[in-house]
Amino acid sequence: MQLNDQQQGLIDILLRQNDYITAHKLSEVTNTSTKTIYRNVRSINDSSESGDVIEAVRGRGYRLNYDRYIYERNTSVDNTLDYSPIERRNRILLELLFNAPFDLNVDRLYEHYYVSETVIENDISLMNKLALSFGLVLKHRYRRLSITGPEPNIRQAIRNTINKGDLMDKESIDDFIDDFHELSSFDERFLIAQLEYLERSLKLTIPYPYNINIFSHLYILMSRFREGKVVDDPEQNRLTTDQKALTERNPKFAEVAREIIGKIGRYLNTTLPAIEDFYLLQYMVSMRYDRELPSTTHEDQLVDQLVVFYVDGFDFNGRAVDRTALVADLRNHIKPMVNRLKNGISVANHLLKEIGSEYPEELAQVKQLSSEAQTKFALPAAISADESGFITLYFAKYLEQAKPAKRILIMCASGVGTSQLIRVKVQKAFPDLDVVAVVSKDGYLKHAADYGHIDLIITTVNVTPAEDTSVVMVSAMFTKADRDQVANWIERRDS
Amino acid sequence: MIDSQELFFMSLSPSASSLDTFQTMAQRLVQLQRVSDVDAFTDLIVKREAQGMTMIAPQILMPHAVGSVVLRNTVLIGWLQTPQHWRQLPTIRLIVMLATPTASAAQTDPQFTTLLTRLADDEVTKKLVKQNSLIDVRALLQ
Repeated sequence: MQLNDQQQGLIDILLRQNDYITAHKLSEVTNTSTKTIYRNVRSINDSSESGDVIEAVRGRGYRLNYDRYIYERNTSVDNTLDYSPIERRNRILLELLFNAPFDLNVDRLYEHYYVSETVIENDISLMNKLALSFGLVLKHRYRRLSITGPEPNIRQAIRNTINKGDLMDKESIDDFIDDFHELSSFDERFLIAQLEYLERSLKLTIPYPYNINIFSHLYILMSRFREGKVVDDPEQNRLTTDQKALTERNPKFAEVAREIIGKIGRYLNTTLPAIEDFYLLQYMVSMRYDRELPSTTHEDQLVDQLVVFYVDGFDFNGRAVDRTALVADLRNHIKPMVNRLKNGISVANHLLKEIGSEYPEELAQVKQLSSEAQTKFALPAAISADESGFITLYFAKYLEQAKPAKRILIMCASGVGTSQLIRVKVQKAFPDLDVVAVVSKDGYLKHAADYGHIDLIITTVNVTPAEDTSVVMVSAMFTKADRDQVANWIERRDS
Repeated sequence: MIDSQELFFMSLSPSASSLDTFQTMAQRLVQLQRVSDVDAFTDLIVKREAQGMTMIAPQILMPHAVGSVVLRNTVLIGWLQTPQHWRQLPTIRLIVMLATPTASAAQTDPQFTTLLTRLADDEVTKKLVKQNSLIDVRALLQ
């Protein structure tokens, strides 16, 4: 089942919907005509081999047959003919990068893609630009293509190309492995064992997508050395002052990185250069872990500034968000993100599209802040859309948790004196309540509608409120017993 | 700092009832040219008390009146030389009497807000009723 963006959007809406939804409603949500909805539904169902993926009931609308959808999604044939031009170029570029500095025959590289000579020429020209952007050179001689350049640049290009394609767009290591058919089950088990060893040694769990990142790094490393194409360059293998400093600041991580690289060397029956320990260490300090690790870097100040920049710059639209918790949570993400920016490591966010459709305004805000942050803090690299997507999720989480503030009126016979005093006490005891006004009983009875929807009236005098409004009677002293009454009301309302 | 143009203090002798004391305070407000009619003002105060006691803290009463009989926003603080046990009321030591021509005039008055914010602090009200002289009370509130 191959879906275009519009059809996938339709499926995404139906996936979130538990009940039937009418074509009219779908057309509103997707901003398309009902005709387009009918056409897309028909097209989706026609491409399914197991029956209608979208079921229709007259008078009720459409609903997704989830079992069929999952079946169709998992049985779709991955055919090279279906690759888009970008995917095709990425795959060929990857093959060239893995093979660098040796050359490959153009006809062999393109034999499965069935494209014309003009298309190939165009691809080569675009791949050349890409290679140059990584400080590499794409050579084209006698119908053979090769890439040359320093090993760190080749790795960086491999990582970025993997991230750009859908190869890293995976939800688990298993999915990632499925896409790399050339990865043998021995290698797979060996690499997973290294990840487990890393987690055991550091007593932590590496969450998605960092586990995929580190797995792919080790996979690239193994592929490069196994083919015997890594040029042994003592100059490149020497640690710079900054690299030495990072190693010294993270002794435990450095030790584990050394052990794992040693094991990979033995597995490949070769000795890997010491710079490989450092490359792995870069990944280890650039991940988010399931718990806060002792502070290891001097970048903490920048991390704090960035977190404050995001939280202060974000417009919460008047919602009472738990800022302290958000700052703490976001800090755990930003800290490794700063390391990723410094080390040129990118993460793929396979949820980015969904985040964009679910939280479009929030994502736009975060992207804007990310762009401003790069200039303001002179960051070593741009904060990618994938990273902004992750950050958006933190804001979205806390916005979801924040309930709209409850609207309160404070009332006494005259709206003066005791009620004004109670207002001060209520605001002090319950800062999350929105005290709309202090009113006299008469004033409220005459102009109740002027105050809009009111959740609660805290009053020292008896009053019969409008529908849907609760009343808590208190004494003018607003004692602890009075505070407890209000607290109980809040608890009942929240539950 | 609360503006002395709005905040006044007086020492009160023992009386037989709260009404007597309210009248004494109303007379003082008339003398200060803040209220135009003693009886009309006292009537407003008593009617408000009848709707619910205005005790804002132990031993502190906050009677208040809103009406055209009031010429401008005023707070008159009466300190009872000896704590009083009037009928139907708990022991009273301090009376914070508020007078305002309209509710909105009171609600938008920063002087009122400053005083009420101070009186909303339990520590302040506890100290107020423990003072031995009007001078000490004044020092705490000004």
